[in-house]
Amino acid sequence: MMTGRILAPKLLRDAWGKLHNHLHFAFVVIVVTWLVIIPLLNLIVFSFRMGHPTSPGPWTLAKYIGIFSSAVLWNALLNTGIIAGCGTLISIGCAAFFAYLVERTDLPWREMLWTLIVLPMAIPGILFAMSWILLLSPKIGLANIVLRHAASLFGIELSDGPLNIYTVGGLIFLDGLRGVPTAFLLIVGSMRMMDPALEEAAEASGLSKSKTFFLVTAPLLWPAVFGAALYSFISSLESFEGALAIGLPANIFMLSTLIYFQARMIAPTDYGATAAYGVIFVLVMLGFVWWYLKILRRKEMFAVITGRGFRPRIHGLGRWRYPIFGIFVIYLILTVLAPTLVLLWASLLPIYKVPSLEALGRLTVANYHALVTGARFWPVVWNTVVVSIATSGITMICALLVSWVVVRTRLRFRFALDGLMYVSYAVPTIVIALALAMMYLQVPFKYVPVYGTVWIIVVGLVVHYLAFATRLTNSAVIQVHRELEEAAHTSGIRPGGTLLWVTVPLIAPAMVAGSLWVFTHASRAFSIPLMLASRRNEVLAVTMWNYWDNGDVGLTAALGMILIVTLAFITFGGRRIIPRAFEAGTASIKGQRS
Amino acid sequence: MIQIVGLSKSFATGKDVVSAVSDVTFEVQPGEFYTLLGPSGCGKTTTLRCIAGLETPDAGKIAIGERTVSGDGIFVPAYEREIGMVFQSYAVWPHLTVFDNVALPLKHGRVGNLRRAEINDRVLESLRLVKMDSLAARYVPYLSGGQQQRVALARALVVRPKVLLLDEPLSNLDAKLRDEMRLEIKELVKGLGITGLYVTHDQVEALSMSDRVAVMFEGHIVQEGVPREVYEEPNSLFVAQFVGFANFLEGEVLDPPADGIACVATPYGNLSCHSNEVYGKGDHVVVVIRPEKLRIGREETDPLMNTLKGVIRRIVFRGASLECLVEVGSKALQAVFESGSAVREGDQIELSFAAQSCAIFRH
Repeated sequence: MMTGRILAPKLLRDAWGKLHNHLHFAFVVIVVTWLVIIPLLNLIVFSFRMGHPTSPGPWTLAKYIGIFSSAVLWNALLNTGIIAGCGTLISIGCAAFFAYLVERTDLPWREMLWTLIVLPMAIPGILFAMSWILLLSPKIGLANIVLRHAASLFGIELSDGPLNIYTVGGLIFLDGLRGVPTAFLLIVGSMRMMDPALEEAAEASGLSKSKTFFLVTAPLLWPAVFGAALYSFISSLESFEGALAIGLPANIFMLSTLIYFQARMIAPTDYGATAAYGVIFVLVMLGFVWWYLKILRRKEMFAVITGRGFRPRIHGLGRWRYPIFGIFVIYLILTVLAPTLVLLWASLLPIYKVPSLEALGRLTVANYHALVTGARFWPVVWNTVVVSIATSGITMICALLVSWVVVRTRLRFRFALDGLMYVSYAVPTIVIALALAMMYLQVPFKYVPVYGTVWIIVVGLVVHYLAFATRLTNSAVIQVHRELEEAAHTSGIRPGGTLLWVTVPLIAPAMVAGSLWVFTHASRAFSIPLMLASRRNEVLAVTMWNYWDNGDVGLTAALGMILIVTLAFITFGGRRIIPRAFEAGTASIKGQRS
Repeated sequence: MIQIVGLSKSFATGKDVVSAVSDVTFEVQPGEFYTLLGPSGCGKTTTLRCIAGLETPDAGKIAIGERTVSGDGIFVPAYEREIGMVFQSYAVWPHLTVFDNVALPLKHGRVGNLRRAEINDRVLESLRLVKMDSLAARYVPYLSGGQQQRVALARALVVRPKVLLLDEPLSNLDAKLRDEMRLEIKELVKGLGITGLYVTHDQVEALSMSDRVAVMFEGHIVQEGVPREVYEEPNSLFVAQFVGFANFLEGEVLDPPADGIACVATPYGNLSCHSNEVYGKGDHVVVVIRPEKLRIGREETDPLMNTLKGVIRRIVFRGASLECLVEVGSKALQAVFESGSAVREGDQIELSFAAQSCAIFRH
C-alpha cells in the first residue's frame, strides 16, 4: 500500500497541499513571467538608463525630461487621439446602424449581409492602407482621377486632388472603415438579445414609437454601444499600418509610428528614449483598458439585456426596404471591392499605370511569375508558415494552461494571472516588439539565441494573442462541468491525464477555432514582424512592405493578392468545419447538465 | 473502513469565511452502508469531497482502510485514494462511449499496466453489474439520465474500490426511477461487499438504504444511528422536523417528568408525553407527534394514552393511506390512517395516541 507524502515545515506543507494537484501551475508562472513580466519590467527599467541594451549606462531621468519638454510627444498624442476618436465615431455609427438594420428590421437577406459586413476583416490592414493610397493619392489616385474627370464635365479643371489620403482626415477615414466589422460584432449581440417586452411595455404605457426608441431602446443599448466604442478606440490607439504607410510620408506621427521611427529609422537608436515612449504608450493604453473593464463589469449588472433567446421586435422598413440596400453596396465598394480591384489591377501591370484602354493591352502576370521564381519568395513563405503554425500552437497551449489555473483552482494568485492577461492586452504590439528586442539584446537573455530569428517574432505574437486566446479558453473551460474532471481524479487519473484525456477532447472545438483564428491573424501580422525584422526572419507582410517601400507597386500588389486569396480559402474552409464542431461539442457538454 | 476525526473545512466567499464543516467525527465499518443526511448547505457534500480528496480539509484526520489520507501532514490526492465516486451530475464523459467511459480509469488511472483483454473483461463485467453491457458502444449523451447514472456507477466500480462514495446520485432522476435505483444501488453495494458512503437530502433514501444514518446540520452531525432510531427517537427538534413528517404542538410543562412521563398543557389540551430530560414547571416546550401514531377511537384502559376530540376537515387519498387534517378546537393536526378506514370529511372523531409516541423538546 502506498503511503502519503510527508512534508516537514507546515508552511511548505500547506502550499504543497494546495499546489500539487496543479503542477503545471509552476509552468504557467514561468511562461507568463518570461513572456510578459520580464520584457515589460525590462522596458520600464531601461527607460531610466543611458546607453545601449548590450552595455547599459548610468541611471537617468533625462529621457523623460527630454520627451515631455519637446513637442514631438504632445503632437503624436494629439494626432493619435484625434484619429482614433474620430475614426471610432465613424466605426460605431456605421456599426450600430448596420446592426439595427440587420437584427431589428425586416431587411431581406440578413445572413448574406452579416457575412458582407465582416468580410473586410479578411484584408490585411497594411494592404488596405496601400490600396487606398492607390485610390486617393492626390496625383495618381484612381478615385481622384475619376473625380477630376467628373469635375471637368462641369468646367472645373484640377491638376491634382480633390481628395488627399495623406492627411489626418484620410487617416480618420481609413481607421473608421477598418473598425466597422469588429464594432458590428460587438454590438449586434445585444441588439438581438434585447427583451421585446421592455419596448412593448413602453408602448403599452402610451409612448409613441419614436419616444420608445429614444427613451427606452437607445438607453438600453447604450452600455453595449459605449463598450464597443471604447474597445474600438483602444484598437485604433495602437493601430500601426495606416499610420506607417500614410502618416509617415505626410509627417503625421502617431504614438505607434513614433516608436517605430525612433527604434528603426534613426541611427543610432536612442534605446532609453524609445523605451520611455513605450512606457508612456502602455500607460495611456492601460488607462483605457481599465476603463473598458469597468464598463464591462457594469454592463453585466445591466441585466435587462438577458441571454434568453427571444426574437426581437421587427421594425418594418416599408418602401425603404430595398433602397436601403444602397448603403451596403457603398460599404462593400469602399471596404472590399475598390481596394481589391485596384490591387488586382496594379498586380497585373509591370509599372503602375492608371487604368486606360492602352494599359489594358499591357496586362501581364509577369509580377506573379517574378515573385514565385524569385529567390526571396519561398524562404519568406516558409518563415510565414513556421511563424503562423508555431504561434497558433504555442498560444493555444499557453492559453489553455492559464485558463485551467484561472478557472479550476482556488489559488489566490489566479486573479492576478487573469489581470495580467488584460495587461498584456493593453500593451501595444509595437511596444511588445520593442520590449522583446531590447530584452534579447541584454545579458542574460541574449544567450537565448532568438534575436533576429523567426522565434522572436513567434514570442511577440504569442504575447499579443494570449489575451484573446485566454478569453476563449476561459469560457470553454468554464463550460466543462467541474465534476467531469473530478470524476477523472476519483477514478485514479492524474491531473496531466485528466487534461489530456478529458478536458482537451471536450473543449477541442474551441481549441480548433482558436488556433485557426490565431493562425490567420499571425500569417498576416505586420507590426511585430516589421519591428523585429532582420534578413533571416522576413515574413510575407514584411516583404510586401519592403517592395512597397522600394516603389515596386506591382510586386507588392501581386504578393498582396496571393495573401488575400490564400487567407480567404483558409477562412472559408474553416468556416465550414468549425461551426459543426462547435455544435457537437457544446451540445454534448450541455447535455450533461440537468 | 473510513475514519474521520475532527474534520473542519471553511470556504472564503468574498470577504467572509464560511464554515462548511466543523469538527465532524464518525466511523464507517467495513461493508457498511452509511448515509450523511441533511438539508442543502449542511456540509454533507463537503465532508464527502474531503474524503474523496477533492477538497483539502483545514483540520482533522481522514483514514481510508489502514491508510491516513489526510491530516498529520499528509495529503493523498484524489487519484491515489482507493475510492470510487458517483456524482450528482453523473459526470460521465460526453466525448466517449459507454465502454470507453468505464475503460478510461483502467487505461490511464492508478491501476495501470493492464492487458487489453483484461481491460475488456473488467469493463464488461462492470457494465453487466449495472445492466448496461448491451449499450456499451453507444455515446453517453444519447442515454437517458438513469442510464447515464448506471454508467457512472460502473465507472466507479471498475477500479474495485474499497470505498464507494455517492454524492446525491439519485437527485436528478424522476421519482419512479429513483425508487428502482435506490434498491438496486443498495443491493449492488451490499452484494460486492464494499463500504458505501452516501450523501443525500432525501430522508426516504436515507432511511430505506442505510445501515446507519448521520443527520447533519450547519456543519455538525446532530444525530447518528440506525434509521429506525433516528426516525422514532429524534434527539432534537431539528431532526424531528427534518426526518419524516410530524405535528408540532407548542405548550408549557404542567408536571415535570416523573418516570419518563411529563404532563404538558397545549392548545389541544393536556397531554402526557415521554421525556428523559429534566424540565421544570412552566418551561416552554414543543410536543412532536408523528401523524401515523394517531389512532381513531378511544382507548381509556391505558392511563398513558392521550385522547383528543376533533372534526375531519380534509382527506387526501394517497393510495396506501389517507392523509387527514383534523381540527381540534381552533387548531389542526395531521393524521395518517389506513386507506380502508371508514372516515369522511366532517366526521366527528376521537384521536388517541400513546405518551411514548410524543416527544418533547425545549422551545
